[in-house]
Amino acid sequence: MGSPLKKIMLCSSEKEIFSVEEQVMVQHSVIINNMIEDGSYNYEESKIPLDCVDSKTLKKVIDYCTYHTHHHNDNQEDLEAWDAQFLNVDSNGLYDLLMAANYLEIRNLLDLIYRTIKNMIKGKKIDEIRRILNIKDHGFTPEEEEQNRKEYPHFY
Amino acid sequence: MMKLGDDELSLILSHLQDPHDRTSFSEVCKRFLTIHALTRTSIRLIEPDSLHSLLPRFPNLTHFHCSAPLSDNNLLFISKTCPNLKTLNLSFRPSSLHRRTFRHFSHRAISSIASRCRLLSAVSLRRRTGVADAGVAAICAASNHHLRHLDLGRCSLVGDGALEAIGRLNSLQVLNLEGCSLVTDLGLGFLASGPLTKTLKVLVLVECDRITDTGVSNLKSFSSLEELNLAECGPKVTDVGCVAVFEAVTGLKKVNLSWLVNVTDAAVVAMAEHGQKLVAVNLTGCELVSGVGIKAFEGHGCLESLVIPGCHYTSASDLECAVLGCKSLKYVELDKGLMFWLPLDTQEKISRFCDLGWS
Repeated sequence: MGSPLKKIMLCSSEKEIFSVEEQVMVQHSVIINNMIEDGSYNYEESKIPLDCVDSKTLKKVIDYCTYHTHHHNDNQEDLEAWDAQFLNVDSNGLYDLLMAANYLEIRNLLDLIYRTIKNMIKGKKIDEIRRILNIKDHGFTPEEEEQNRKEYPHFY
Repeated sequence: MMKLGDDELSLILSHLQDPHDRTSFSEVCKRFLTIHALTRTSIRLIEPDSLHSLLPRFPNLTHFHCSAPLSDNNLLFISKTCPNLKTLNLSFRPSSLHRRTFRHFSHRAISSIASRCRLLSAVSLRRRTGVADAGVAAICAASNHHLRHLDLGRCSLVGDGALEAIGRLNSLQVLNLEGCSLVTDLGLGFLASGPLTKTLKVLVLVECDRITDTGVSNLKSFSSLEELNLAECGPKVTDVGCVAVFEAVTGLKKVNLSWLVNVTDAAVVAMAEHGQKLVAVNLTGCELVSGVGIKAFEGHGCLESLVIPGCHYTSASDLECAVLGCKSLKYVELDKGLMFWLPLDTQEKISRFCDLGWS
């Protein structure tokens, strides 16, 4: 566990530097926790490069980790309401968050996103899911699509 | 969505539990279909004719379930296509749809499954009457410490030869031999002389009616046994066999002695005295068990269910004594015929402490 006052530097794909309390990231990200623990991070010089996370997404990820570090004693309902508000983004933003959370191994954020996506598509018709997930090219040939519609008429 | 990697997509899919949602996900686009097929681990086959078109689509199946008629060729195909199977549930359900006469798969097919699917941990061949000793022996020989659950119920060709092979298993926890009426004391002797005695937790011998006290006594070496079902094992199973088992196997939680007409109070007293972990006891139709036996449960610490229709020599006061004296008891089942005979205040007293069922 890092001390509460220490800061670490994260560098987004646009080379923007974000300074974050070490404890916040160590608590949430398995990857960063491992880096700090094995001593490969130098507090004077190191910046952790996150080449596949853009600034906008990184800022959101840090927001999430910070909030959950400082509010973990809040009641469940308040936290859920905050999470719902936090994930009120368009589908592209959601995928960016998903990939960032997966890259940094932030398990509770990943879980939250997967649950959200699940609820977005659960029980929906296929055309609706395509619209929600912004899928333009489904890749089926017209014959295959027709076959699918015949086989599972209740999904369409 | 297209920028997500396959592992992220498969994680989304892993959060969808409802099979309908999973199928509908797979129809959204071709990439989802591929991922769905790659991540699918279990299948229940309704129509054997679709086997050849269906199985190759799902290369990572670990659970296969089919209760329809299957041929040797079908099984050969399964063994070739799904080498990673862990659960093979072929429990057969006869149905009026199977009008055509068909032949069950033979032990040759089972041998090919055994030799190719080396990770099997649960196998059910219930009612597959083509299965004989050689097939079971092949599965056991190939099991390689994985096999935990083996159901051979109603496989009428299975006999002592199969039990000799099963006795050598060192991982099996559940063995169901219901209705394997070729099984004799010799077979039980085989079972009780190998490493199986250390691991087996559940043994079902329902309707194995050739066995006698000699065979049952052998079961005393099953030190980890928690559930023993000897229902309808015939008149040759008496107190002698039962007492030997109950005195030695003290970890039993569930015991079923239904319709063992020569079992008396002595066996029940031994069971109650040594079986301090007993949770459920079924003595349906044990005509010689009387109030003396039932009263033995007075003061028992964890018995929850006592099923005793047909124990006719039990008086209302004995019953009251046992029920009121056994604080853990939640359910008692009695003979329907007693409903009007058992005094109402006894019924009321019993109902205050546990549920009362009639059958």
